[in-house]
Amino acid sequence: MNFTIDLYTNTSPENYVTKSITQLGTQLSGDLRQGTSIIRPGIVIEQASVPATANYMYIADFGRYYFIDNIETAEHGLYIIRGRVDPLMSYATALKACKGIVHRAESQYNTYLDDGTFKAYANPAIITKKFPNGFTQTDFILAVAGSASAI
Amino acid sequence: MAVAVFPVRIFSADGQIFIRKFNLYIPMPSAAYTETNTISWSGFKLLSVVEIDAILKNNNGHYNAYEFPICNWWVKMNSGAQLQQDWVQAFGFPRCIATNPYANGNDFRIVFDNDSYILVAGNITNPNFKYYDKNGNQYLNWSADSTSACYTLPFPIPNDDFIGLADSHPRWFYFYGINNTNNEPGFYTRINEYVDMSKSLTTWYEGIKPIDINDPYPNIPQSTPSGPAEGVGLPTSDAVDIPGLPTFSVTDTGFVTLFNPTMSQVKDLADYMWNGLFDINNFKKIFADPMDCILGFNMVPVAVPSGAAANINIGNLVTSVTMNVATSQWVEVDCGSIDIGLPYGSYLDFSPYTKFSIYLPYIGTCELSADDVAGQVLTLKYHVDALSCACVAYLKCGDHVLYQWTGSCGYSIPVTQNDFSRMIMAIANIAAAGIGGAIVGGAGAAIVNAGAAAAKNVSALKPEVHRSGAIGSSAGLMGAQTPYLIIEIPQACKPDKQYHYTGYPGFITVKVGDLSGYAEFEEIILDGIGCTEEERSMIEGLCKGGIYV
Repeated sequence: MNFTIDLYTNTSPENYVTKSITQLGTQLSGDLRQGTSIIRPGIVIEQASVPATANYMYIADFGRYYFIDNIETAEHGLYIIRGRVDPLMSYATALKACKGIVHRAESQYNTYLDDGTFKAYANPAIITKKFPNGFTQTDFILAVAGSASAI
Repeated sequence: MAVAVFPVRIFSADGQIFIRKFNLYIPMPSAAYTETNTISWSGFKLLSVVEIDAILKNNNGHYNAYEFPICNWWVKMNSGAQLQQDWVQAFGFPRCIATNPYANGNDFRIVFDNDSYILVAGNITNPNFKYYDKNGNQYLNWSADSTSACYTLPFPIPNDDFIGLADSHPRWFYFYGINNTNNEPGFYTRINEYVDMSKSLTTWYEGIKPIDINDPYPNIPQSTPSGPAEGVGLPTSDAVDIPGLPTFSVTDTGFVTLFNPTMSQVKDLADYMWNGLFDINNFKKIFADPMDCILGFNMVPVAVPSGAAANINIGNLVTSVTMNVATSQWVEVDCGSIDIGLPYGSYLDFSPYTKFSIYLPYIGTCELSADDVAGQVLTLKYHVDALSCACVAYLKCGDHVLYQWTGSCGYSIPVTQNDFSRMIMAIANIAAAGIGGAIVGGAGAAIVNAGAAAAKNVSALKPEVHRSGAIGSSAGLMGAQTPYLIIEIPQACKPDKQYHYTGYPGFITVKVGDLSGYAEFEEIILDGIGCTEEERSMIEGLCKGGIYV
């Protein structure tokens, strides 16, 4: 079984669906000689060196991207790469087709939902706004019993 | 294995059906079922069981007395099977701590609301149940079938007149009932023979209705879907405008004339009434007190529409003083509009965060609901009655008049009734005495007498000035004359690019791919992803915790 591993440097946090990765060196190729987990693989490779900046890898046979949690050196020039699956990057395309109810989002939101997102200082601003018109004139009104006589 | 739903139904002697509050899922044996088969108890599911929160123990640590607001039930097996504590606990009756909850000599009883009770005796393989009324009279001595595999389910009814018990066989249910007012102790009536559970649910015997698994309580109207998703939506809102001024006026009656005098005209009237041109002999025939003719003299803070000048008549006396006649007693004051806007465009613009109040001249300061006025164009108008000085302020929020307040906006000018009226009354009285009976019997006599009585009343009082609206009116004149809003707006504290770090509230159903940047999900259906369940859980957890798309 031709087993390939692509090593990368990942600069994105774990919760990024699409990681910013830079491939390191050439693809490692070999045979898978011992069992390993597909979720948390531990791959023993015989290699002169493994880039110390490698923190991410893609295993084509597993069809998954992995975070490299640790790289251990072993005897006889062996390295053990311990990883754990990055399900977001591995299933990014399928995930983007899924629907869900957004609790909070950067691109689509409704700020009238009161979930405590916005906070305010303790001192509110006091603002007064005058109406354009008020009472500006004073008149006398004399109410008299009876009617008026024309002049 | 089929599953039947048994609401626990007890039949009374008069055929009434009591429906208890829980259902019981019972795995239905097949037609080929034999008693030697074992029923899988894992198929049982109690939908609702009375919670026994407080179970008393006796000195020996045994549970020996229970009070149940509604009936409970328990199960017993005696065909070589051992009563298992888990079963008993699962069914909510006695949560035994011993392997034999029905040990001889223990007084296990179930006490009902009416103080009747069932005494449980015997032992695990041969339990015995006796029903007693509250006075200790025994009415039922009932034992489980100890010779066959028997599941015993007593269904006691806490009713004053009736106790019902049901006995179950693996294939049958027996229902018993007793009426303690008609039957002798120890007598019971088997109301229904049995129900062969191996038969179809549609072949129930009379008295027992087949139960639709989807509708176990057919007599209870089924609830229908409701709520926001099923509602008819918000009702349409009708515009509520500020009403027009009244179309009638007291001046239309002819009894009252409103004048809108200038200051000089007011002085002219005063001069006329106090100089020698005032013909008291003419006037006295009509009024004893000339102030009776002046119904009101107010200063109002509005421009009263006036027409042509006319001579003012005091009663029937035509004076030489001219004044402008007010053409209407109603005046509208349009204070204009304010567009409030939404300072933040968020929930901070509404209550309880933002607070509104409005100062209204001649009324005072009033609270407004931010939910009513935020983001609206506010239009304020007054309607003033120049005669009574009453005013109504209308606040229109958008297209709707949501607030109306009343107040008094006039200042009643004190026309003192002291020296002037006293003098006039004295003259009038003298004059009236001089002309004696010349007017007796006429209509004028009644008026003079009435006027004299009024004068007497007035003279008995200390000099005082009456003001319409009392202090409020004059205070209103001294207050600010332009209405204004007082807005208490929270000063938002928003970190830079908050939307990128935490997002803004959504509650929108959306496809993940349609989002960009930060997104946090309440719920997400990960459909169409060929991953392991562990990975699915990981993705779901990440999505609920917040991801960047």
